[in-house]
Amino acid sequence: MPLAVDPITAFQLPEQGSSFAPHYDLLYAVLFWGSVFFFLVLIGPMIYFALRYRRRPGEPIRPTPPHLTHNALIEIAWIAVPLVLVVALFVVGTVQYIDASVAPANAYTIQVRGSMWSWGYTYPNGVESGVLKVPSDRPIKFLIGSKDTIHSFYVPAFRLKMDAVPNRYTTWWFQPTRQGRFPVYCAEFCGDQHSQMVSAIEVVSPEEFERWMAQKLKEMQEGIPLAELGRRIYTGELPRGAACLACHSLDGSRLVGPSFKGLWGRQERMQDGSTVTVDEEYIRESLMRPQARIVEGFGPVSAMQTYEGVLSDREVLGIIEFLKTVK
Amino acid sequence: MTTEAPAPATAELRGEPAPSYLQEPRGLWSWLTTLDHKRIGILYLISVTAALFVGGLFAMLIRLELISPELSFFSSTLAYNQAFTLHGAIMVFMFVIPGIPAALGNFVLPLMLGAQDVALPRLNLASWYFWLAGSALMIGAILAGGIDTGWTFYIPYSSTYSREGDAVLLALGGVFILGFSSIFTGLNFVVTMHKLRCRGMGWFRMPLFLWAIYATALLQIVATPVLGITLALAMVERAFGVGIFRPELGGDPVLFQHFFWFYSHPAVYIMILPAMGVISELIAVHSHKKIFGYRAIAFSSLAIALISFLVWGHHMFTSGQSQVAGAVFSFLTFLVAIPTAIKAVNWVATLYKGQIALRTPMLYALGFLFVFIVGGLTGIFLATVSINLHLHDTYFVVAHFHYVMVGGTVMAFLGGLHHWWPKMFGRMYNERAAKLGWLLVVGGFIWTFLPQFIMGSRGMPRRYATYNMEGLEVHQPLHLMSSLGAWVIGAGMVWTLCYLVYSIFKGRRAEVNPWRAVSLEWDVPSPPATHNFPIDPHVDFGPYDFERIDEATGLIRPGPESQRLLAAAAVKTLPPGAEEENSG
Ligand code: HEM
Ligand SMILES: [Cu+2]
Ligand SMILES: [Cu+2]
Repeated sequence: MPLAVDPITAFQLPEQGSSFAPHYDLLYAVLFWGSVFFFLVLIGPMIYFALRYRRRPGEPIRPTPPHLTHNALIEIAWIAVPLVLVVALFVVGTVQYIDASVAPANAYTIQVRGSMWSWGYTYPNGVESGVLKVPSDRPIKFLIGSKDTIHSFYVPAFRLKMDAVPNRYTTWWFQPTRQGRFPVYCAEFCGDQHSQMVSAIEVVSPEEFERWMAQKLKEMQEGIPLAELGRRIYTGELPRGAACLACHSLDGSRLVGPSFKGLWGRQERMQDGSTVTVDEEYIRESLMRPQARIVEGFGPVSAMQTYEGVLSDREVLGIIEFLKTVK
Repeated sequence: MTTEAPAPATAELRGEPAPSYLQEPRGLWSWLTTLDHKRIGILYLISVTAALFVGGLFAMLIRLELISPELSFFSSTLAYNQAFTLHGAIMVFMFVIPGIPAALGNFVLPLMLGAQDVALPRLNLASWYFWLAGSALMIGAILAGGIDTGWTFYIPYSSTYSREGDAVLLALGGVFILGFSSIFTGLNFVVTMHKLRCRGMGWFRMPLFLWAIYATALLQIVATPVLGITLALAMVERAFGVGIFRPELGGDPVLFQHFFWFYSHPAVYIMILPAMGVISELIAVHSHKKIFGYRAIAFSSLAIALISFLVWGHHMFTSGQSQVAGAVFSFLTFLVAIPTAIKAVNWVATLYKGQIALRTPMLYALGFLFVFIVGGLTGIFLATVSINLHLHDTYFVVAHFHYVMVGGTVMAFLGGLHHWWPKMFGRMYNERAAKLGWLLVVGGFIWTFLPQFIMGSRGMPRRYATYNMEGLEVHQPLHLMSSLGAWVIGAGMVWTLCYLVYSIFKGRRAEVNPWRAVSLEWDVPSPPATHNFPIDPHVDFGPYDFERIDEATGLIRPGPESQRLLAAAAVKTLPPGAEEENSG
């Protein structure tokens, strides 16, 4: 919404850094000016009446005529008008919200991990970093988790935040609209250094990002990429409890558990009749709480033991990356 | 209608003035063991005012710290975190929740109903003692090291990471007990309203304050146990290591948030509904005009109470709850705006062609409207789920809830206090001093909190001890402004306390009915006698039938039935000769 002078962002709202921000700011402006309007509609008459209808000392009290004690038309109008307005707001707000929370399929996924009191980032190729650089040419999705207490990953320039909760993933995504450096804050109170738990997102050109990433990869040297890490855990080359391979095939054949062939993104029917789209959170849940949801046709209880405390966070991500590759 | 000067019911019967409830019985012990609702109201008034000032002191310290971006006033961020936690917890649980119902409500509710007392006077006294016990535990928590979790006690921070785990446990215990105090009050009021309305007092003859108290009492009874259960679960988890909320034990920390807000959202309406009731009284009485849309206001209180149970998830839009839940909670939250808007319009409409006396209680009512409407409208911002993503947990939310809780509840509390003060203590405060106090409080309030909306919309997160980080230093001027405003509010509060206390000793004696109101508390002496009504009243008029006021005396003209009862009682009780004097 490149208006010359935006009446709102001029004195409220930070600079815009995401494709979501202009939509956000427009709705904010509607709310702001709508509120100013309704404020005046109520307060104007209030002040006027209070000054106009003063009681003179000793003035006898008049009985109130009935038409001044209720008026069905006013009351119904005053229910109907706000109702229509809030329903409209609800629709627009919810559509925006769904847009902001459901990432496009081609989003580049970066894991964000809050801990007392810093943010850490893991890229799909396994590179771990304390600074967050992203390329400006594609949608970026954050997979947010926490190592300890609850934090909240907040970037005012993008108008987005989401809590980082231990033992689960949450997400948000954004499409950069310009390059630059945007501060990141923790928005959920997390103790002594809560206010110092800051970081920044650097949105850079794709070329610069590739250069930086190549450098990072080199630095990682003996570190293995996530998908490869996941493959090794799957096969048991890297022993982590029972190897997945014992119960899950890669070729579609049915063993003790469902096959992993084409699992990523699939709609799975569950024993209780619900359906689930296989995503990061579902995989994590299946590893940590195998009994939580069981695929139709298996069970009644899952034969799988929990991997809670067995797998590190990076290893869980490795398994996720690996499963994405099993077509 | 008769033309002879009718005196209020009690005055009619007294040979010499009956001692007021303040005078008899005497002695501290008689106060500490009193079952009189008026005295319990005063005990509560003193206690919650003390809580208000302690909580306010912490607020001043917080604002001192925030003048500069670095840590400057407190010795550590921990100390700052403890200060804002105590500020919030004391204000919410010890002042705002009990404030209007337990202090003002206790005093006026039975009088308004024409009842001699509440239905369960012992429970009433117990409620106050529970308040004391709960508050003592909270103070104990301060002494045990202080809590630094925020008034919301989110797990796992409060359960696992807070350094002062024992203090947290004490504070949870305190809140648990304060919850019982609140339940007792609510239960008592519901029973009283069902059972003890005097003759002629139909539901629709009750002053609107009582409708609001009724809706509040239902919330207190239904919602507060959930808080108790939640805190009990958290304590069990801590004591026995059973995994309920704590992730490291296999629990779900977000479940705690659901439980917490399932209580605490209705609780914000426990805070505001009584305030709305007070405002309905103040506006009608001081405009001497029947309230516009009595039934709409009465039923909107119930509607708000009902809907308020279904919206708790709006505090958790960014907690990772599903998108469907987010959408549903957003929709339901918008619905709360409708009954709220109805009330606001009806208040303004009541002013139209009224006979308005701009005395202090009325000024507070107008001040309430001015700021509360902003609070409600910014609630709409926050209810819009996409807009919430940016504003949640910033100063915008801080400003929103101060606009509704301070601008709303505290202002209504002060307005109600100035309204019923002559009845409570039989003395008038100095009107000019009170107007100055009003100016300081309302002006200081806007000065303090308006800048916080702007900071919040620009992305200043809440609960930050320091803001010298990239992108936040720019907020320093607004923080400074906010801190200066806080001193103005503080000065206004201290000033108010001074002239009110002064008036108890030196104030002009109050008339029976200084405001020319027609609810029953204005038909007994100021201050009332220990026994509210010498004969059980009979009402044949509505709470806002101001034409029932007798111009000459300022008293309510008794209807035919009341006159008959009075006459019958007078024959029995008055000394010989007095009758003649009366009918002359
Ligand atoms: C039209 C009426 C109202 C609406 C639509 C509304 C809406 C909201 C929403 C959506 C939030 C969540 C903000 C967030 O944390 O992201 C919120 C927070 C809050 N509201 Fe309201 N609200 C209204 C009136 C009130 C009233 C009357 C009170 C109390 C007297 C109140 C007290 C609070 C408090 C205490 C919080 C924040 C608590 C915390 O996080 O510490 N609100 N409100
Ligand atoms: Cu944090
Ligand atoms: Cu709420």
